[in-house]
Amino acid sequence: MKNLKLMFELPNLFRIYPQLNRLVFKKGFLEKADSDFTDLRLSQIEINNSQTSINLSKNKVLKSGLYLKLEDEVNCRVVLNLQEYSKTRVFVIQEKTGNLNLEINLEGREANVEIHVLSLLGEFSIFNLDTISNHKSEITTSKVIVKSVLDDSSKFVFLGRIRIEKHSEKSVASLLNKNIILSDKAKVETMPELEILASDVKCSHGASVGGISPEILCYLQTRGIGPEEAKNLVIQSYISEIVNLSSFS
Amino acid sequence: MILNLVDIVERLKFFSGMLGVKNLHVNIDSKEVLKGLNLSINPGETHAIMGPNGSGKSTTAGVLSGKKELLVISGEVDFFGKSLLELSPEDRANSGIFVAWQYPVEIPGVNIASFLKAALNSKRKYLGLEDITSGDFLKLFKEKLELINLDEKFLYRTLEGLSGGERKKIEILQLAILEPKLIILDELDSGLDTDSLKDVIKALKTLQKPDNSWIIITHYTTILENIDPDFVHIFSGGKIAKTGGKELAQEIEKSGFEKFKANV
Repeated sequence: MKNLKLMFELPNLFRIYPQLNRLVFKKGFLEKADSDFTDLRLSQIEINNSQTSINLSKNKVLKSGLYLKLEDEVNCRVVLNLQEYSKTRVFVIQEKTGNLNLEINLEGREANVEIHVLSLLGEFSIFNLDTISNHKSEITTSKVIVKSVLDDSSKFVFLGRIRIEKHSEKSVASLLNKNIILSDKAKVETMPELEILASDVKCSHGASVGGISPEILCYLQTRGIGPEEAKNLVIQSYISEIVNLSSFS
Repeated sequence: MILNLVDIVERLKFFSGMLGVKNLHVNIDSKEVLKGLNLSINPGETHAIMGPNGSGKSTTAGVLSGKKELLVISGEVDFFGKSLLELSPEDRANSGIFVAWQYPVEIPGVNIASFLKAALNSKRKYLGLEDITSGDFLKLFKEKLELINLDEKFLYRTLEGLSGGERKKIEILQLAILEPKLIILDELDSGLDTDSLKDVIKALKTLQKPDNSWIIITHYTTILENIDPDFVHIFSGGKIAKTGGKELAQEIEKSGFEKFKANV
């Protein structure tokens, strides 16, 4: 179990969402990906030396979504601002050391966002992820799903926060973090937080950390699947959910 | 001399059978649960195992499938001439042992069809066969879903969030696809409603073949009224207290296990 990349087939987001807008972050700069953006205009992206902002104007639905790709050892801060009735989803698949600070501002009413993060770490990789979902207007929706698989001496640190401001009534927010640890030396720190200043909202948050249960491995073995293959089957299904769980249409 | 010949013939008979369990002692957490089990099963036979809770019925299913928490202290298990106890759980399954579990586990996110395709291909690989093609598997899967009266939407379901009845049906679906030689049903009838039980019994009847054998572990006679057992074994205190024909099951239903306990 040295190299996670070789063990599991990463979900091919581009096969399922061919129109995905890819943003690749290299050390010190943002590089536009090999394909042109489909429904994202460059005018909607602002880059300065410390952060990249993506602004979705009123009624803008970025249906295909965004794929954020961090090269090795990149630190970046991405701010996504959504005005009234705008909507999108963001995918992050992280396999290397890096820091990502993702700030979502749901500025206008009925803005809607979905964030899916999959972190597959091995060796000595460390991934720090901070997300904040700021609900600044009423009837806004955010859904954050962060999953990790950690092997070797890797480490994943997740600080996820939902903040619902005072007048953002009828907002719906969820934050879910699940982690599978495959080695004794791998480590997860997770802090899902809620800060709710409005009264009529629906929020949920949760985190789990664990290995693959011996009962599951035993069951699969009694069906003829050896322990290594059984682990692969379970993890492959777990990571494929990043695609399957996306309810956005 | 004559005695020796009889002995040899007996031995040949023993080894030409499907399963031979000889004087098996098994511990769980250093507590002895099987205390000298003897059982011999030939192809095409159906054996019912009845007995009070804690008499070693489920342990028998567990030890044959290779559950790790069960520690074999002594005894032998012969399966088609091979020493079963030396095989890994996956090799036992691939050589033809299947237990429909009383409490099948949930596996979040794992698609039933993908899991079963992996299981079938493991078996095919073990037998030196090529992987089944996706098209052929899909056809087989749909055919067996129909057999057990499950909707085609189960193609997309995972081993998670299934009802008690659905879980038992999925066990039978696996059995139908993997076509094992020795099938052990561990209290299949518990947690099944009447309609599901009917579906399951109907499927089991079509799955009975001259070359496969069945061990039906149950507390009730419902399944046994529909699938005739050749033998009924009453378990008590970790071994077989009495063996008889199907009339024994009816006797148990009427008067319970009390009198067999005394025999141990």
